[in-house]
Amino acid sequence: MSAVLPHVRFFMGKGGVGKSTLSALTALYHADRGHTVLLASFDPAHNLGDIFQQKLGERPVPIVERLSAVEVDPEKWSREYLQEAERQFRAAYAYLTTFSLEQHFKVIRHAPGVEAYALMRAFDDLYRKSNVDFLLLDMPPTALSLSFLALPRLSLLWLEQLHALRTEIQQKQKMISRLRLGRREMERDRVMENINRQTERWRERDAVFSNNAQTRYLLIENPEALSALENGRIESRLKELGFSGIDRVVNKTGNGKSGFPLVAGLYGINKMRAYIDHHKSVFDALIR
Amino acid sequence: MSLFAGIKKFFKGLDQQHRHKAIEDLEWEMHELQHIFGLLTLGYMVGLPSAPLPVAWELLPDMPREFAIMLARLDTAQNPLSEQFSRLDVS
Ligand SMILES: Nc1ncnc2c1ncn2[C@@H]1O[C@H](COP(=O)(O)OP(=O)(O)O)[C@@H](O)[C@H]1O
Ligand SMILES: [Mg+2]
Repeated sequence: MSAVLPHVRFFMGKGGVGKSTLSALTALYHADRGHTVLLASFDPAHNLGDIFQQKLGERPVPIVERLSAVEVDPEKWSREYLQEAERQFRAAYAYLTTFSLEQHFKVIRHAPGVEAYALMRAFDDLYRKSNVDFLLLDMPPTALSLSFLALPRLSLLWLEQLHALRTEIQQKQKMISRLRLGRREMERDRVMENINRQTERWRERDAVFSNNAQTRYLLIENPEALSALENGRIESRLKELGFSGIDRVVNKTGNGKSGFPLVAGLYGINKMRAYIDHHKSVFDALIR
Repeated sequence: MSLFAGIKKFFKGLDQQHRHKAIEDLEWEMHELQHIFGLLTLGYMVGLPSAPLPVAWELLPDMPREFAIMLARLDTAQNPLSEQFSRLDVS
């Protein structure tokens, strides 16, 4: 049976450290132990298909029993989001001239933050629909990953400020209409309702990201300085955001060192299963 | 009697004047707050740092007045912020 809430695992780290390889190995490890798993690549430079030696795409493809994999196209989600936003603007502001709206769209098409939010929508979609025990995410380059992960906290911070300001506006309005008309009851405030609705939704996401019993961040690095430095920065940023489920994992280690040992040609189901069997203790210790 | 009525009238006038003044002040303050609210949400349209885009965009359909003001700025103004800021007493 699937758990009600999927366990979420974010695989992060510098390019080439083995995010894709370890996320694929972890997926296989859990699936072979009886859990249902969805492995999703958020990195536009997809290579899960190469690792499983199977063509993947936007719809989940079964890999082995209980395991499917999907390659999310961030560009496509961005495009769809912008189109949807444009549609909504046009519907809400049908009375405005096309020229004015075009000016606005020119600004927003290149606005920062669209890509991170597009990933959030892709994440929501997978999280709600997948109905699996484990949702594994092979993450894009660090900068984009961090702006994606920061969105809930950042949005909540802003919504809190906007809520306070709106409350002040409402109070003034109330005083004015009481002085002027002796009225006490207020008109419904759609902006406030909107703020509350959004706050609710961002809180749900933040709850998933910050629950360390449900969600873990696997920061992959190699026995080499630069990848460790990058993970140090990722770790402190994640802590700033209030996320504590952080595991630093060393990949491509030499003999005797703790971590995942370097083994040539680590791809294809058979090779990967052999690797998991051979290094069972490492998986049991580092993967949860 | 007429003196009493006169005093009463005097105080009533004073009260109304106060009330009028209070309303004016309140309205001015409220408009300023609404301007700030507009800038914090839709400021991105005129190049100001503002709320994260997804938050702002979702608010947009419920803020037609503020959106129209910002669009007007985008359309025509040479110096889009001058008027906003002059109201806010920022230079
Ligand atoms: N433990 C390992 N032993 C040997 N090669 C590995 C190991 N982990 C990853 N690799 C290889 O390193 C390269 C980069 O790994 P990859 O998983 O694509 O990294 P990332 O997704 O972080 O960019 C690939 O050629 C992969 O096969
Ligand atoms: Mg990769």
